Amino acid sequence: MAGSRAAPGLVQVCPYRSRAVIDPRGVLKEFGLDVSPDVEVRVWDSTAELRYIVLPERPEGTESLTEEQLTALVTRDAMVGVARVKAVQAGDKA
Amino acid sequence: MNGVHDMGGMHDMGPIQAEKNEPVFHERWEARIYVLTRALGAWRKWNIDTGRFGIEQIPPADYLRMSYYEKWHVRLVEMLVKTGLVLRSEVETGKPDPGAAKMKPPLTVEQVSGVALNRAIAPSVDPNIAPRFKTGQKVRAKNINPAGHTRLPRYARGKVGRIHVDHGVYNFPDTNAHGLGEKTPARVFGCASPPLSFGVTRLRPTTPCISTCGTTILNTPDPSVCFAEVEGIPRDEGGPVFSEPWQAQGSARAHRCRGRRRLRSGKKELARRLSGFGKPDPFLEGLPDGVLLANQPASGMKGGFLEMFEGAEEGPDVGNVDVRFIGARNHALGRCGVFAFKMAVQMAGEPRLSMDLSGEFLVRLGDSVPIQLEAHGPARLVGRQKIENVDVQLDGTGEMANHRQDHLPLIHRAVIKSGGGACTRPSSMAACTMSA
Repeated sequence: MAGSRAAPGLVQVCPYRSRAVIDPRGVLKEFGLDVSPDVEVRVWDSTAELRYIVLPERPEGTESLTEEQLTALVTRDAMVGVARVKAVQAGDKA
Repeated sequence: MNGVHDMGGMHDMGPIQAEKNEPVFHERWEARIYVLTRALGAWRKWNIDTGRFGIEQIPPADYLRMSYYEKWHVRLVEMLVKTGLVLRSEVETGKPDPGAAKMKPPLTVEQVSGVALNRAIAPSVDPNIAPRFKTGQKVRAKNINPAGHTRLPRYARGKVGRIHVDHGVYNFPDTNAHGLGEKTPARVFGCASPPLSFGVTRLRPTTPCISTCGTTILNTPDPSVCFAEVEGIPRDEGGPVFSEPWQAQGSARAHRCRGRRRLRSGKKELARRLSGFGKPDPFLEGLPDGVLLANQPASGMKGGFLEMFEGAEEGPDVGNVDVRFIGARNHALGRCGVFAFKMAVQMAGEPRLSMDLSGEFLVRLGDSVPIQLEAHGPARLVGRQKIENVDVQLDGTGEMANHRQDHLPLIHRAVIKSGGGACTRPSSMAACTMSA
């Protein structure tokens, strides 16, 4: 699976690649994601072979949702790790 | 290679520009380049690491200017030519050379979609290779500077971290990029570097003495150098001439950077440092061992990932404490024995940091209680020796100096006093000022 998809644009560009390891909070903030100071940030620079799957944090109030409804909440940015999943109902997009 | 691609930690590359609803490809040609590159991988003329090295070899100015798939395009052409799949003349004319060799059988769509595009990369090759390091073990990433491909980025070199996870055995990209991969599988470790706390947890105290820039190197250029004396620039009777204002600016700037005095002193500084080559010098640590060869991993780096690290177990600072009785001297308190001491201390976990202290202290003859040497500062020293029936203990701290005292113009002070009982009197205390 690894290597069989084109990389999202953000990881191709210099601002992201230069700053992710030294200023991860600043980078995420510019994506619109504020990480609370009490949340530890760890940078994982991948090796040549290993890729990481981002498992988005489950938003509060979604305990009763079905897999299908949960799937509808997940965005690409959430899977890339630069956005949180918002607990809007499926089909209730703003 | 220390290329511009290795940009982790660099500043001023501009803001993050996140694109809403970003398409997979922005232009049709991007998709074509992508698929062409993947499809041609079926000929097995290159691997993912040679491909990465191909991107890295794009000249820095072009690299920064080009978009992602422009780089893919340049790399594809260069790899096609390099591997003989296409002739340079064919690229330039856009027409196949009738005499060029053809790959057989021709690549089909079925082969491409089935093999090349979906092929997983670099599977774990031999899970039985024993790990040299254990999870949790402290290691230091070596400060290597290979001219070939490496997966050890500059921001991690020389840093101490802990093995976080053992991922198993993989080909080693540093060698695989140069066609040596199959011989050198290696275990892959995830390594976390504790000093990177990103402002959340405590800041680790920094060591005060890692300053490898000599003052000579940082000198401002000598303004007294005469501009007209610079060789190699066009001139007429009136002096230097330029066809464009920016050429004059550029020349002036280059010239300022090449001020003669600086050049001389820079050479002198370099010669002085090179004279210590082979010794553990913070500046020289950055220079590779052995000859740098294009398209090769760093010297001694053919054994896999593990070669990138060396053990950095925590322990006490270690070193030699040499104390000798060198005679007797009359002192206000009476006849005293004079002891000379030399300490060479290696800082724990910091192979590049060591300290030399030397001096002497007095012991009133007849005292047989332990003598304590104490040096003030961050480095903890522990030692114990019995000289001339006097038990000398070294237990204290000292200001750290570079292992070669001429590198840093620090004045090192060590206060040496006798310990315990009657010998704590000020009279038996000697302050030694170390040579700078």
